[in-house]
Amino acid sequence: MKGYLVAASLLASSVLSGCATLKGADQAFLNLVGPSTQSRVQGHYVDNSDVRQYYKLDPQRQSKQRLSYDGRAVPAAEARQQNLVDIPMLQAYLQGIVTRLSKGWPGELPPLQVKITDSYGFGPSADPYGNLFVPLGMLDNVASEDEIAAMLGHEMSHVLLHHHDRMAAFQQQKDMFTTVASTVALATMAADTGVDRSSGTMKLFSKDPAGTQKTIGNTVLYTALANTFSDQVWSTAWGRSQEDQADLLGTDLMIRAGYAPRAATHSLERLNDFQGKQKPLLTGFLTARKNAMQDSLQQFNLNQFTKELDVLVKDGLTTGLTATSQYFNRSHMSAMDRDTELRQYLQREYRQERRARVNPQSWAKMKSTPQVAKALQGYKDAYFAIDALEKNKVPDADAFIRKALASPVKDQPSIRRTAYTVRLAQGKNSEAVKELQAIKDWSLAGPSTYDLMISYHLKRGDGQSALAMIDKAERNLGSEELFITEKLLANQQLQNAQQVQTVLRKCEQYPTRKENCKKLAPAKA
Amino acid sequence: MNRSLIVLLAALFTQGAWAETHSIKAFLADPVTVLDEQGKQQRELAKKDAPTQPLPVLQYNQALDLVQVELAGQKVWLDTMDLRIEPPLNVVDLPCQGLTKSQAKDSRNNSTIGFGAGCNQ
Repeated sequence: MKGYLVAASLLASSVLSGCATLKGADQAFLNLVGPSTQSRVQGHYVDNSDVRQYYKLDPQRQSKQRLSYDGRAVPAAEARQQNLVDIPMLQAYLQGIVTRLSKGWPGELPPLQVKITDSYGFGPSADPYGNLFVPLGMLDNVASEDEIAAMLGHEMSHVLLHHHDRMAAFQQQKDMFTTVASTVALATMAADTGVDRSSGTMKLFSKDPAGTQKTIGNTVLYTALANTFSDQVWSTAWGRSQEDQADLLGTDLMIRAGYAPRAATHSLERLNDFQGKQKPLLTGFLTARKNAMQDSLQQFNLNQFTKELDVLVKDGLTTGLTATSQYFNRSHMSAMDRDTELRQYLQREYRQERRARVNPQSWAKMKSTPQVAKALQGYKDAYFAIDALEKNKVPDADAFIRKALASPVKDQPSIRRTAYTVRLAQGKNSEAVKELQAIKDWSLAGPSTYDLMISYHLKRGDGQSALAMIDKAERNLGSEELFITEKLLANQQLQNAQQVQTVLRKCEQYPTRKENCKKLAPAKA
Repeated sequence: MNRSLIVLLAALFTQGAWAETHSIKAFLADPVTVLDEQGKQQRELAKKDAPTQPLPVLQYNQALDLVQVELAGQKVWLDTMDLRIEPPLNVVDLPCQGLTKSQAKDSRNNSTIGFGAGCNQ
């Protein structure tokens, strides 16, 4: 039997990973067929030797991460995908919960920073740099501060236990998923752009600006909807054992901070409910998106170059569909399994504490504070605008976005980006661009919002403005890789041969970008 | 209609609604603690002696997170931490994105129960 389990584990590792780089898949599989992580733990998890090894921070690892984060070396797949939301009072409240939870950690603490994102997904996520991303959808649905503490404690635990070190292969899948959208936008732009090689450099001119804008607009719409799901789908795909460990440590931390641990089971129930509701939507979305992308590509008389990209898109979508269905098959079951295991751990280790009641008052008070309530409503109206657009109810979308544009968060990237999409749907192209130009704080913007402005400048042949926006994106998102293809195009527009060669050399370092860079590279004289 | 009658009818209606929609599908703790309406422990019930068939929930006290059920002809309160209740008590109320070009009449779905109820139309 043991031999069978080992063989099955090895087989599952290779199936789950698809390559040899996925550390932790074997652990995850053993966790499913053998005794659970929770039942193997003796005493409080935070005191276990498995966890003690992380009490002391490795200064070398910390400084390496710091350098990446402060510089521009964050891989594109690790850069945040969402627009950030700026509601200072709410931000301080959430950060206060993290500070309170942190006091229960017996070891040294890495930096932990709460950031609110414009996603209407439910699950929060964490990156290796200690950013804890809290989606608006989560804040919209939790019933108590205890529940927020449970979810933040869980995410903090992923960082404290270095789980990001194990997610390399999942990251590759995420990379494929997010690259597809930018590839389509690029393909659309390239298909609409004439290439004049007579001068030895690539000169771009727009053949059909209105058509391009419409296609990019559609892609933007679908990408906006994709972003609602992408974090939910990918950020939790870390393998069951990591989730179990984060549940255990997060629960220990919340109990030490005086929160009611039953809130952890409330959030797992909600996660399960959310995943159940999203499954049919996601499947439908991927089909719709695939069709939209193919329509976008077929709309233009594609040359060989874009046909190659078309193959890439198809491959990417197949990968996305397969991986997504695997994810749901495994994780949907696991939310309830995790809940059951966690309750047994609480009964064993925290007999008294598990009876504590949640206190819904502090969160209700924060949520109803006028500044916070108005800002949250602004974001919700923007979300409803996108939802109405997808249903082709343009007047409804217009009414919703008008409300959002009257809220205190009107000049934040997510709101203006939605307004941009609504104006495009209304056929008001020049007003659409003005919406983007009204964004006040670009440090809050996510890659897709930058993408719009960069594409706009490139289409107008304004390489200088495109480069300025790319520089902003690199600084604020910490990643040079994200827009390196566009950087190449901008330098080509400026006919800066030296810079083109420099960017090309840099592009060689990024496996998922180098092929596109090569295709866009000027012909050798 | 006097006030106490209204309260009585409301209570009866609420109980009926709960019993119709929610039931205990599994006892997760062993033993299960039997409580009074204030959440004070009355006695313990071994899991092997707990009902194996779904047990209707008569009332839910959200503040104390307790449910009232009938055990051996007696109305008692149980802590939800010891139970698996279906449909779950804690769900999300996220607007249903119209990604599937849903046929739903409303642009927004407020369904709070069931596995994807209301969204998969």
